[in-house]
Amino acid sequence: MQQKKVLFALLLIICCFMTSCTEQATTRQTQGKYSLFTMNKDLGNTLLITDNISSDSLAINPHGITVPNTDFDRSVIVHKGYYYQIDAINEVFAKYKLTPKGVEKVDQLPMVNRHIENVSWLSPDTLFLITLDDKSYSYINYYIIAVNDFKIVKQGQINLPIDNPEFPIISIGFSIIKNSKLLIGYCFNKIYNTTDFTTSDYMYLAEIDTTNMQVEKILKDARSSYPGGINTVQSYSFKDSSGDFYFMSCPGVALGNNTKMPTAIFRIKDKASIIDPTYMINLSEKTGNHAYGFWFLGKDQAIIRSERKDLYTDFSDHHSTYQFEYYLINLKSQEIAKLALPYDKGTRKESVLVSNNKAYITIDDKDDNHQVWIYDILTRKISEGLKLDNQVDFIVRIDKFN
Amino acid sequence: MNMKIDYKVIERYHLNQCTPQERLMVEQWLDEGLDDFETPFATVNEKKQVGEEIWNELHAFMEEDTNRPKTKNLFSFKRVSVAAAILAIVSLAAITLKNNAHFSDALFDNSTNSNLKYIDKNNYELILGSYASARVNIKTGVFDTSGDIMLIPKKDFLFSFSKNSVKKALKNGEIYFLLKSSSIGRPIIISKTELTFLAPTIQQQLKMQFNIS
Repeated sequence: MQQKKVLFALLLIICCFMTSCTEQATTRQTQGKYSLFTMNKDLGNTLLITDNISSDSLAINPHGITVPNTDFDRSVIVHKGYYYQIDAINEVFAKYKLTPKGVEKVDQLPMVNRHIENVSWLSPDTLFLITLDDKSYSYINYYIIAVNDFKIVKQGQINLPIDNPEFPIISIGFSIIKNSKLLIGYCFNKIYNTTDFTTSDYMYLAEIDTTNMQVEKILKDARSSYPGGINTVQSYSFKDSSGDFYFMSCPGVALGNNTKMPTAIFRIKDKASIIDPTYMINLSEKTGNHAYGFWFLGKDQAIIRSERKDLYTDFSDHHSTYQFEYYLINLKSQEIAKLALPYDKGTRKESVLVSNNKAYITIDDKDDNHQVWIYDILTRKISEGLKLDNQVDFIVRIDKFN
Repeated sequence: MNMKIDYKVIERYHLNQCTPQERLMVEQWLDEGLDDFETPFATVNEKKQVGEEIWNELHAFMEEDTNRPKTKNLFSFKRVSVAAAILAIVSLAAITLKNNAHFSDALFDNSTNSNLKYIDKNNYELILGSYASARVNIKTGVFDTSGDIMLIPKKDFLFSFSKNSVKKALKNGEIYFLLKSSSIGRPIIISKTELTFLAPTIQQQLKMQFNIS
């Protein structure tokens, strides 16, 4: 009788264990419509896949999938159910799939001493990367990669001459390929010491012949500085439905640190290869602040994410201060309107996803809520969406996944 | 040593994930660099040994005293000696207590060197950047720094740059950067997790400074 009791207890324990394992496996989605990247209070990072960002609540434990915080970070390209980024430790450009236990490298290409400054898609499966060397930040290499076969189709150097030797570090802000031309928006940085730097008083636009990758023309525009930014971290540009390209300059403390210049929106018209001299929306004049992050809503509407200089002290508390506001911008009328949302925290987040006439905006607010807010573009109403738990510190990305 | 000591090796050493060869290399490297710990004793063992010797002598003397027939001479040689020994111990303790803060200050100086300097202590590791120095009092958690320094705590503790500045809870296992920014005009502390939020140009400079990938 005693033996039977022991056997029963053992079986019960085994059943409980198996049930809990099954639950863990089924609660972690590895495929779905949306991907959220969180940085958590325990210093870990999580990817959370879901089909529903309009309602519901999910906890990163057990629904999220822990990802390493050493060789995988938020500056990731999310595309058709895969993640792509440079693994700087192993010096490769890698393709990852998601498993219930984490990210799994499925393929890799050598990419030594490089980091990505800008990405764009030449076709749904052809990726164009612009990279800089990790030491001097002065040598530009480009790569055209077929992501399905995961092969480099073409690669080479682009030589953008230094304009002023005092400003030797390049920042690439955007790239557009149309016809046989490549347009690159960029600027130069000057270093004073480890934590002090500034950016040139110009935005630069290089026109490159894609047949030989030679620079044909360089334009300087003194209306602002630091055009765009590293777009694997946050979006700063888009093409509208008529083919006109819009970008935001970011001279504020979080990117260019040339704060006397204005944050502004500029345009390169579809058929043109110059920054439209007749077009500029001076956001700093309208809000009294700098901004980082620019997303297209459709038609003439866009959203920007704007800081509050009266709330943060300096670059060291810029990310931890609840200060970020979201504004609607009409690209034609230049009218702006603040969205009635709580202050957000976290410097440079990919926090806006536009889908089905809605803008899904992730906000980490002062009450330790970490959730999606929904702006309905047609009705102009704001409602609450998916909520994550407060083990999350920052939701740093929201992307379409599949 | 032919192999290069860099942040990756140090981090693996810290996490106990390095190869035996790397471990040996790091430990040899550590042995090469001596830090300046200000104390009247050369080592902790020596300090303990001196203390024990005093106690043993006193104890033996007191035992001997109790075995002997008691006399009424209050100022006998041995009584005076015991009093003197007790007085000496009390004085030593008082001096030790008075100077306690001074004794637990550790000075690390890399102010004349453009290379990194690695320090391994019981409660933390420090990597001093070019021309950096630090005075550390681990009891109070005060790190008085100059230049750029990487700090890797081995336990959770409350950190501050001076006695009166705001304290920050540091976590065992996280890496912190203690930075001097001339534009801000005061030292700042940023964790490695938070590095992603700094401007890319600052991230680049820190990675270059500390050999981080």
